[in-house]
Amino acid sequence: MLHLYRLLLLLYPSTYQREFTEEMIAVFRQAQHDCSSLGFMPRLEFSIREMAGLLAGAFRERTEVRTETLPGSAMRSLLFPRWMIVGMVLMLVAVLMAIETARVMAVQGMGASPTWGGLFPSLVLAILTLMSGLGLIGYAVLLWVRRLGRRPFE
Amino acid sequence: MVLLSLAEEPRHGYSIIKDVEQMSSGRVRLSTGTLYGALQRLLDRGWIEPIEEEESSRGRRAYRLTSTGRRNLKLEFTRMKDLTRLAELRISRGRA
Repeated sequence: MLHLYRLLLLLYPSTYQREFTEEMIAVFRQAQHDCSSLGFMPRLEFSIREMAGLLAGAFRERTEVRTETLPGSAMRSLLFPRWMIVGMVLMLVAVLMAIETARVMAVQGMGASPTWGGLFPSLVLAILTLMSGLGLIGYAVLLWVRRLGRRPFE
Repeated sequence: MVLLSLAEEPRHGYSIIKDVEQMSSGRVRLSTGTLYGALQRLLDRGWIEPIEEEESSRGRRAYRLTSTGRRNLKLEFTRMKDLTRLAELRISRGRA
């Protein structure tokens, strides 16, 4: 769990990491320690909340920085690497699946094995598809603008 | 709620999480990602400041309100009080 937490912290901008990583890990360890005596569901809830919080936080930190009026070279240094975008999408899917698994287990009882239909409701799939589509369109527009020789962030 | 948590005394990150949970009777449980996102924005605005303790590492850094933060918290509190007063007035008028 702590390893995954450290891994997700890498999604944050480097300045943020330098400032808060050590402190966030210390607080997370303390919270995890306090949570260790609780039952399965509270611990699962804690894990999902922490992972989702990190993903949302990393996304917010990255997008907030990108909207500022920085010079082009500084802006490019803050952009997500492509592997990180793929990683974030995969982690988001994993978190959504974990939430659905917990929901299905809570409804069907702890012994039941959740089905794929229950794990991935059509609404979540539709939202994910829509967001991925919008992301791809945005990326294509940026590529097109760049090929025209314009640099929108400069 | 983070500002309110720091209004009384300086607190460390985990202490803020527990205090917010207590203040909201368990309804608000901050994750570390959410907390430190909020702390960073408050630091950027100059509403809070870290207290560097000589003997402690960064893992135990505490934060406290600045005078600007306290002023803004009071403004927010006044705004909420006005809103509450207005809500009470309208609800009581609705009953009459």
